[in-house]
Amino acid sequence: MVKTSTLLHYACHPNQLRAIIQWKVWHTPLHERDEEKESPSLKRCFEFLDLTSRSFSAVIQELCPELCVSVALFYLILRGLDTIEDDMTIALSEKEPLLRSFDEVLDKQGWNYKGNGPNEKDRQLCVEFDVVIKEFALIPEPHRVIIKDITKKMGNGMADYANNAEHNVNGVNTVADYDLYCHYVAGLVGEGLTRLFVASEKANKALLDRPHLSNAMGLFLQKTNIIRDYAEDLADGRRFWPKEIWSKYIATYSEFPKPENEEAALNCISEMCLNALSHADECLFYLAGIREQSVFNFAAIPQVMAIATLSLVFRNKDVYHKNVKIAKGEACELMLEVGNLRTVCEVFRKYLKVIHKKNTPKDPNFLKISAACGKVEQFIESIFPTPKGDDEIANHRQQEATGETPEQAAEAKKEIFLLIAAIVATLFVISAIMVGIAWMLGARFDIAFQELMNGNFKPNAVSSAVTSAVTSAVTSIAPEHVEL
Amino acid sequence: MSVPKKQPLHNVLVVGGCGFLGHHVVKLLLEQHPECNVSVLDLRTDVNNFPKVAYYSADITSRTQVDEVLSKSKPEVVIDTVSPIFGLGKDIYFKVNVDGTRTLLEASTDKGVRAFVYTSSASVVFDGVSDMRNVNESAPIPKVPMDAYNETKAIGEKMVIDANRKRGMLTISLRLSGLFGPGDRQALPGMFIALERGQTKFQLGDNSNMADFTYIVNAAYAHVLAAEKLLAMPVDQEKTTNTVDGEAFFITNGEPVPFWDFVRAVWAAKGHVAPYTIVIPKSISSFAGAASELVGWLTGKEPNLTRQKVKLSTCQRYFDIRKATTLLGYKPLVSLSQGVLDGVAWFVEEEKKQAEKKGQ
Repeated sequence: MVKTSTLLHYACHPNQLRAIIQWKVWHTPLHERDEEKESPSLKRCFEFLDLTSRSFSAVIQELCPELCVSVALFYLILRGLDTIEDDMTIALSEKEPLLRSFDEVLDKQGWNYKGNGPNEKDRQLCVEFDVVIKEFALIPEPHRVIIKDITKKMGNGMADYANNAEHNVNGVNTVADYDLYCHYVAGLVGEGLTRLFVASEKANKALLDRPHLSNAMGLFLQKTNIIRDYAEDLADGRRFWPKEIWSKYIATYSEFPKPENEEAALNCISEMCLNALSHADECLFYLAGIREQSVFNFAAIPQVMAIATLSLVFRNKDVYHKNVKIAKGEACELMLEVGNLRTVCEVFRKYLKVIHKKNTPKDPNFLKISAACGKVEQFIESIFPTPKGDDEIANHRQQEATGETPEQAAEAKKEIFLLIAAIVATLFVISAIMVGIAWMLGARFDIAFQELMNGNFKPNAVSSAVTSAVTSAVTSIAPEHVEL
Repeated sequence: MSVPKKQPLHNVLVVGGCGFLGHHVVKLLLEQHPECNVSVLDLRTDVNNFPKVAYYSADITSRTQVDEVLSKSKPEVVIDTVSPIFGLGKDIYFKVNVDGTRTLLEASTDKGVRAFVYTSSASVVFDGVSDMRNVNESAPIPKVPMDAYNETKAIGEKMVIDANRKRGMLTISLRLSGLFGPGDRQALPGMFIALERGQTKFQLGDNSNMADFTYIVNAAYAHVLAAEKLLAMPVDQEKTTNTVDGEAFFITNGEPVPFWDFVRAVWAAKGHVAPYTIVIPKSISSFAGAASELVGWLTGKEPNLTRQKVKLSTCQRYFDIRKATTLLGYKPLVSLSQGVLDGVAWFVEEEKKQAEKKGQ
């Protein structure tokens, strides 16, 4: 069933509707899985991928063949780990060793786990985890080493948090804790993916020397989700917003949704968004290190979705009541727009403008938010400088408007000039012939010209003058013929 | 790991040390270098004084007066912060920025000063027309200067750079942009006037233009850093891509923001947020500026709005300060938003003091 509100939305945003149709009809994946050659267990893995991840499944399946299966399995393994961590029905005494040794499980053929509560949504993945392990054994050795290493780090991080009673009751405390938590659940994924990309030579290996960049990729996504999911997480009894931030605005975390706290609530979202925004320029920097199109799309699409989401949740009080999401049409538009670093930068610019527009001097973080947006803008300017000088600007605009290079534009101009010249020349020749014929027939242009000079502009007078000139010419010819 | 030892400063002469920037340099020197003997040379030395500082009233265009001060204070470092305010005559700019700088440079070289730090302006690369987006030190000085101020600052800077390593003196030039803070006589007071006049609803241009502002303490800090860096250089240090002597550096807060955002943040710090905004497009603004100048010219009054003001509040004007962060190790001490709060708080405090004086 299509909702009326959805219909209304697309009536107002026909571009988005167009984007959905374009994406559905015209989009051809860069790479496609060859399902015929896939084993039943691998097919099952991809089914799980579809079931567990709505947003990542499509981009993972379009990855180049060297990475597609490894990244899909990496995702499923972390999802399995997450499903165990998330499940509050598992006793800590059972959960902790399971999390800490999850990397070893990956070598145990036939291993699976049926201890999840019946309501855990990805329970089935753990029940059939043996298919993941079976396929894991078949991917290249370097990939296995990377995935196991990240699994071990993440499992231990999760176990530490599961053990931390304070964290479970009060949520995240300081901003440093918040960064660390996000590092475990998202920054490490960024690290693992980067190592996989570099191992298959799809990314600049300099990215390995700058681990803060891959960490930023994860943190930017995770923090945006944490802001967006306030209401959902609170309903599940979880709080991820760091106390160091929210306690500046309110005494009790769960009281943000109250109408009387609206201003405090909006200012708190602002600071949360400011915190997330601090990673944006590093994400763009990271993307500059990707060398292959499918990997670029895989890495960039979640980032543009995140900046769009961030601009949507920024100072939006609905965040406290429901899960605020970007429209499907907008998501399709974004996927169509992602192509290279320049277009991704333009998308970031577009949404930074939205944030800037919603920013208000009433907000205690007003100028800091301005500066955070300015920092991204300055970074983009540093990698894609705006052309200087009038000529360059004019060319740049022309290019933007028509998609032509200056050379093409010059060529087109030349063609138009030649075309006009040809028309003028043709008209001139025809006129000359007509005048010539009239003259041959004895037209008295001197009389006509004289009449005009005398100020005799009236059509009658002129035409009579011309007519008389012609008639007299004809009559003057006629007798001669008669004589002949 | 050992903390890198800070270069001590023993004897520093701050020229213009009673001015807005100069007295902040003095203050920071006293705070960061308690070992340092600080002297000040200024035309008038009766304001912005600190204890334990030697003050000398002198004219920098007079070689004899400058020589006298140098003989008494015997500085190893001269920090020249002299800068006449905006809107004075061409003659004054030439006299102070060109003649004064030359006199100071020559006298300092002759007296064996080791380091000379010059306060320049980011505007030296501004031609008055083109946008300045993320401009760095590779930008040329425009052939046709925008005005006498920029022209004379550029000449002064060139003399300072050219004087580097002549008879052992090392020089450096710091190009500042948009100074504001306690003691400020132009930026913040100008914004307060607009607030008093109830002009806060108006915005010239669409506010897509970013501008760089610099909290005065950060600007002062850059001068202290520059002095330390020059003194720390070995006497026979060869010139490389990493040496800072004979170089110009852009110095800002490193936090460019849309121009009107900064202004609104200042007003907000004073407790005022405009209920709505009236955007006056850039083209109309320029026209209004010209009209206002004409009226001002006809009536002989200082115009409220000028084309210059319109240009400065609608053009892109921000800089890439990576040269300063990497080579000088410059990192702003105070963030832009904290600077606004501190700066406005100082003015509020001053107003209170004034009111109390009047009340007595």
